[in-house]
Order: sequence, then structure tokens, then C-alpha cells
Amino acid sequence: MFFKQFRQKNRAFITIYLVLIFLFLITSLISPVFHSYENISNILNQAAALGIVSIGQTFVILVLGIDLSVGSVISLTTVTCATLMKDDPLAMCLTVILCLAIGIGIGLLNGLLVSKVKLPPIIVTIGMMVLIQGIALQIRIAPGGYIPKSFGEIISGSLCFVPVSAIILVSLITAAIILLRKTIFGNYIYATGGSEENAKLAGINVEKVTIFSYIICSFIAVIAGLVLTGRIRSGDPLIGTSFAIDSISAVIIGGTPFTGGQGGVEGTIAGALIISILSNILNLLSISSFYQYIVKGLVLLTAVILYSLRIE
Amino acid sequence: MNLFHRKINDESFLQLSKIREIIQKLGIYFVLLILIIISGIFSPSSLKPIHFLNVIRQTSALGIIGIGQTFVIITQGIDLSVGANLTLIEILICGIIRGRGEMVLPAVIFCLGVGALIGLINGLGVTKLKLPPFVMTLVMSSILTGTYLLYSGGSPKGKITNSLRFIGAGRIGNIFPTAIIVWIIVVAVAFVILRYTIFGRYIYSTGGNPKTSYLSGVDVNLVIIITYIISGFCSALAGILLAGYLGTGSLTVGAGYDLNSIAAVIMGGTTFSGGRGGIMGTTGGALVLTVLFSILTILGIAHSGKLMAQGLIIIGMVFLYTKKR
Repeated sequence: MFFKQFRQKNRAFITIYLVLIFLFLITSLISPVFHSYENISNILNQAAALGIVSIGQTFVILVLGIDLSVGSVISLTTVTCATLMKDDPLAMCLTVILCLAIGIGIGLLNGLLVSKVKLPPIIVTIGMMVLIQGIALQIRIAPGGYIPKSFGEIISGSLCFVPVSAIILVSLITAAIILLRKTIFGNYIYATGGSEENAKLAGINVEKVTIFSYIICSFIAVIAGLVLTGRIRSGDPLIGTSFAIDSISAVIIGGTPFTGGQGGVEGTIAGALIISILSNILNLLSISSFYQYIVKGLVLLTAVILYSLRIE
Repeated sequence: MNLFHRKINDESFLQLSKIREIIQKLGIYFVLLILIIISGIFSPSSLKPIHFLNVIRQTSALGIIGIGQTFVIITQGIDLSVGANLTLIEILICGIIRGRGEMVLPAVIFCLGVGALIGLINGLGVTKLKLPPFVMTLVMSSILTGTYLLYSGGSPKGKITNSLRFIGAGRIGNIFPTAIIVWIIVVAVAFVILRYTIFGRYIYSTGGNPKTSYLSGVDVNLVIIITYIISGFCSALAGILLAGYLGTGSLTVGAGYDLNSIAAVIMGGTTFSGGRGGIMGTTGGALVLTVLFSILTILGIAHSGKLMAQGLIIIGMVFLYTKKR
């Protein structure tokens, strides 16, 4: 009885996790190296940054929005850190706080332009993407800069054999699930995405909910940027380029449709893992990275088509 | 008497609103004029006629792509695959011709066909599969990027012939660049289509209100598909022009064209709520962008400054036009 209820409630998520397990088994069969400890931890490391960004993207897509500026926010974070960080712990903390504040500011601006001024989200965030990319390149035209060793060790180290980046990812997932499923704010988000008119009539401050979603998205993108900074230990103005399309893919593959108000973070993580495993197996089979563009495009296209068929 | 009086008032009001409309439409050209004066202050040599022709020639590819983008945006769509489309065609045509004169015409026809086909697929995805336009074209952009990387193996080869070089980089009588003539022809054809044909009216009505247009017998899906085909065709044409200018394949030739074309369209007054805007605005917008970028280059803030300006223009202009309405 309980199981049946659970299945009905979470049908979309069960499907996506079955796909994930299936993909995992197939890739293990294709390549014997795949399930070695090193490779799995490598995948998890790669999936951590993408997973973190995708959590934020989920919030925005749930309220019928889209955030194409996350990639530039990540790049900006890494170059800011590489420019401002010093060995002294106080400077390190201040830099991190500054980056998070910048993230909140960018999200606030996106949210205000989308909800108050009623501009199309794609255009606002495309404009923001280019603007921030320009700023990042202005700060540092080429990869480089200095990141203290201690910061790198904190981020890419591990606590009781669990990588810190994985801990950050899991705690963010937990926080996001609690926020979306167990709080009133979560209800507001689903209501706003489901039908803005109805949500308004029910007395929800739709504009505020939208603005908060964009703030959450940019804030989380900064966290992803910090994780990446710790891993590569330098600032790269172009490191975030592919994160916008990849995070959107992860959200869509994870079962949160563009029509808003449905889905959630649970599926998104599976989506992020699927994307990371796919690009990992393409690398393991030493297939030209040129094919990855095509594969990524086709996977996103297939997911969108399948989900739209199911809705009909 | 009263009636007569009112009529006159109406007419004068109409005239007034017409004047206002013209000012609004010419607004972008005032901006262009101001920017040209500014660039003249920073570097007086930029006011020479030969420099003007150069700036217009530089803009021709962006202008042509902007025209395709205008068609798409009027019908409430967006085409983010124009840059990848342009790069693919640029590499493809150099790879096909490889310096052989007899291959020029078939290659040009083939490449224009490929561009149109890409547009057709975009249009089918948007209308038949009901995908959001930016998802469909973003996916297309990713697939096209993979395709041209695979085709060129990461290092494009090939060479064009003198005839194609004449179209891309040549000058008639050593003064007037040929590329500008191609651009003018495209502008004229697009202008006539949008202004004076039934299809043009269908495009505006589809953009203004797809449901009403459908109910009044317009094949909305067909109209949207054709706008994407036009956009793909324009990108291919721009790719051929740039191939003629560069003379060889380049992986980075299309970078920035997605966003620049959108910026040009927005500056020209075509709105994202659809059904408004036109070719002359976009043409002005494209010229403004090029002049602005050349000023930024003079000031020594080349790449990052351009990106920041692009972002501010896109957000700022959409903001202004939304306020105006």
C-alpha cells in the first residue's frame, strides 16, 4: 500500500533513477575501468559542481524562469577568488563572503528585472551572462592567479573518506529538498510555477517568490564556483562556459519541465549524474571530444521530446 | 461644423502620431550619428568616407544575420544557432571549394541549402514538437558545433577562389565593397517581404497574436517554419561572405554572432512580445553595434569591454522598450 502510493507520487523520479542505474550498468560492461575507485570518485568530483549549479537552476525553472547567467557567475567567482585571496584566513573568509554577496546581488537583479519589470527571463539572463563574462575577462584575461594551498585542501580534501565537495553537494540537496517539500516557501514556488494567476489570487506574493528563486540560483552558482576554485586552484575566466546548457539539461532530464510547477531537486541530481557519466564514458572510450557536443545536444533533445510526449 | 472641426483634429493628430512614429523609428539612426561623432572626436581619421565604407562592410555579415533573427523574433521565437550555423557554412564552403573554380557555384548553392535545412529543422522542432525556441536552437547550436569540429578535425583546411574573394572582400572600382551590395539586396528583399506582401502581414499577425491568426485562417506553423528557414538561409549567406573575406576556414568566425544579432534586433525596436519591429531598425542596430565596438577598440578595451557593452545594451534596450509601451 505504502509502496504503491510512493510509486504513484514519484513516478517521474523512479524512471530517471532507473535510467541512471541502467546507464551505470551498461557503462560498467563497456569499460572495465569505469567502476574503479579512482574513476568513480573522478565522476563524483565532476558531478559535484554541475550538481550544485543544477540545484539552483531547478528553483528558477520551477517558477517558469531560466537562468543562462550561472556559467558566467561561476567564472566570475573563480577569477575574483584568484585575485583577492591571500594566505591569511581572514582574507580568505572575506573573499568567500564577498563572492556570495555578489551572487546574491546578481540574482536580485535578475529577479527584479524578470518579476517587477516583466522582461523575458531568457533575454535578461543572456544579457547578464554576457555582462558578467565581460567583467570576468576584465578582471583576468587568461587563467591564472593565486589560490592558497589551504583553501584548495579544504575544498578538495575529504572528511572521514568522504570528499568535501560531495558533502557540500549532499547538504545542499538536503536543504533544497526540505525547502521545496516541507516549507511554505516551497509550496509557494510550486504554486507560482503551476499557475501564476491562481497563485496571485491565493494571496501569494508571486514577485517575491520569483526574486527569491533567482537569488537562490545565483547564490548556489557561486558555491559551485568556490568548489571549482578549490579544485583547480586558479582563476579561469572561461571555466563556466558550458555550465548554463549543462545545468538546464540536468534539470530537464531530471523531470522538471519548462512548463514549471512540477518536478524537483531529486530528479535534477540524477540528471547531473547522467550527464557526467555520459561525458566520462565518452572520454574513457577515447571518443573525440567533438562528439560530446552532438551527444549532449541529442540527449537534451530526446529528454525534452520524451517528457513532452508524456505530458500530452 | 462641429463634426468638421473634429475631423481636422483627427487628421492633425494622425499626422502628429506619424511624426512621432518616424522619430521613434529613426531613433536608432540618431544614436548612430552621435556614436559616429564620438568616434570622430577620439580618432578624426575615422570620419573619412573610406573608413565609413569599411565599417559598413564589417557590419554586412551581422546585418544579414540580424535580418533573419528579426523574422524569427517578430514571430515570438529566438534563434541561438545562427553563430554555429555561420561557422559550419564558412568551414564547409572552404572545404568543398578547395581552390577549384568550377566548384564555386555548386558549393554556394549547396551551402545555402544546408543553412535553410538547418532552419527547417529548427522550425519543425519549434512547431511540430512544440519545443521552446531557445531550447531547440541551443540544442541545434551544440550539434552544429560538434559537426563542424568533426568535419574540420579541429583544424579547418581549404581555400576559396578569387571569384568568391571578390564577393567577400572585393571592391567595385576599387572603392565600393561588394559585400555591402549583397547586404543591401538582402535588406531590400526582406523589407519588401515584410511590408508589401501577404506573407509579411501573416508574419506580423502570427507574432502579434498566434491564436487569432490561426482562427482567421493563417497557417501559423508554416509561417513560423518559414521564418526559421529565412534565418538559417541568412546565416549561411553571412557564412559565405565571411569565407570570401577570410579566405580559409576558421573555428571562431561565428563567435558572438548569436548575441550580437539579438542585440541588433532589440536595439532596432523589435520586441520579444512579437508582432512589432522591422528591418530598418535592425540594420541601424547592427551599424550602431559595429561603430560602438570600434570606439571601444580605439579606447583599448577590446574584448571584455565589448562583452560588457553587449550585456548592458541587451538588458537596457529591452528595459527601455518595455517602459515605452
